[in-house]
Amino acid sequence: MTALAAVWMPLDRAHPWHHDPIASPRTDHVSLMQRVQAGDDDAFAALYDELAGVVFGAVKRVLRDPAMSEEVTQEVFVEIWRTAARFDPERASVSTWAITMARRRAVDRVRREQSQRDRIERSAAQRAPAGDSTDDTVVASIEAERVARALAELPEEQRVVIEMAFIDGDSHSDIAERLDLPLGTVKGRVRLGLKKLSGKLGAAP
Amino acid sequence: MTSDRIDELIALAALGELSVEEHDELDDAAHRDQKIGAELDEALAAVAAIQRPYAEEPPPALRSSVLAEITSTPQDLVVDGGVGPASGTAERPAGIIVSFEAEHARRRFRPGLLAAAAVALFFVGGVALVATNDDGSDPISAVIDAPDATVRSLAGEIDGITVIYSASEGALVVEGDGLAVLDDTATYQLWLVGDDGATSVGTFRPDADGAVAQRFADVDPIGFVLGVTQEPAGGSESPTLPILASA
Repeated sequence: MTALAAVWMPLDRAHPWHHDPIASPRTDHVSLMQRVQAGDDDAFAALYDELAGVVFGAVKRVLRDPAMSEEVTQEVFVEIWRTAARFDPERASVSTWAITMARRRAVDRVRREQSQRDRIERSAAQRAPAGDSTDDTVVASIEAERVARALAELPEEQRVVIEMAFIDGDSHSDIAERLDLPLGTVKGRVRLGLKKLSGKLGAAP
Repeated sequence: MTSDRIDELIALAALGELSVEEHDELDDAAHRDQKIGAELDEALAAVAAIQRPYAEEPPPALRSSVLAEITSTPQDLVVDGGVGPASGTAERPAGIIVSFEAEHARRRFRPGLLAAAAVALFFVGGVALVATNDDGSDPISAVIDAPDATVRSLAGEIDGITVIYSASEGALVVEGDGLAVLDDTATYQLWLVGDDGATSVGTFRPDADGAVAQRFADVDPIGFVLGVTQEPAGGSESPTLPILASA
């Protein structure tokens, strides 16, 4: 063994944001994340502007309550800031990472603060986005049409469960109760539905 | 683990409803089988694709509130599944779903490591160790459970070493599993490496099962690369190649 020469770089110079950016459709988000990891709050502000809509939307699908959704959205972004180093662009897009985090935090909040009764009483009409002015806009988007087509191609039993879980924001126990199904059946349909959707929906920015 | 169980765990991950124990179960499975990790990634990507069209801008005031909060929020040192090749841990299977909270909670369920820590407290030389804090608390748990605890995983020839640092405690904990057991003539040594060279943090030795959990006080690793070397018993004044793990 030989004595260690001064071959190690300080942490900030060893990090990959000094390397060439990765050429991919997600380069902008990834570049922002790399700068966020370096503690760049301007980059974080830019990332917030990019992701605030999808994060708030994902949270609100689960929570419904706007004020609570704001709180959880703030928690998600603080977590993004704090745990930026965990993001792996080889595994997911930045928005997938953020949405996954948003969903998990929203579900955690539901578990803590919303009663089962409140969940069941939510109107089925909430699922349809057409009545919501914001949703009117997004449903018209190409992305929404692509999702709608993919969902429409699913077997009915899987489509219903997927929509309840990820558009209504229901927990799997809520779905089981509302559809009078065993919990295992709900989880199985979620898994099968997502497998079929994976190929159709794929990665997005 | 059966494929049905894997499917169930992936479904729960997609739903955001994994318990800490289920999270660990899936994490372990994905770590053993990259295909499982890929299936998980695909499922989460599908969920995100479903939800993306339902974007809804939050109230404008939220932006300033978020930006204000991060000014007082320290960032984790975590490099598990980190950005780009420098992390060296691209195989980490659950970077998407592992939150620090989950990692934090998981650590609370690892009594074996704390038992190893207790052993280390009595058998490791070269560093000042105490069995308990002044208030009677476990000094290792004090770091791991500190609200500002951050974690960094080291990668290299040896895997399984994690460093948890708490600025409020002014200390870090080296935690590891599956390390090669050293004979009495050798020890592992942890270093902080910066522009001015390497500074020893201290030495540590795994127990007979290859586990270690050891606290080092009066250390601030922020801004330094962490490195582990194997040294003669008692440690060295400067690190000896090869670097076995670093981050």
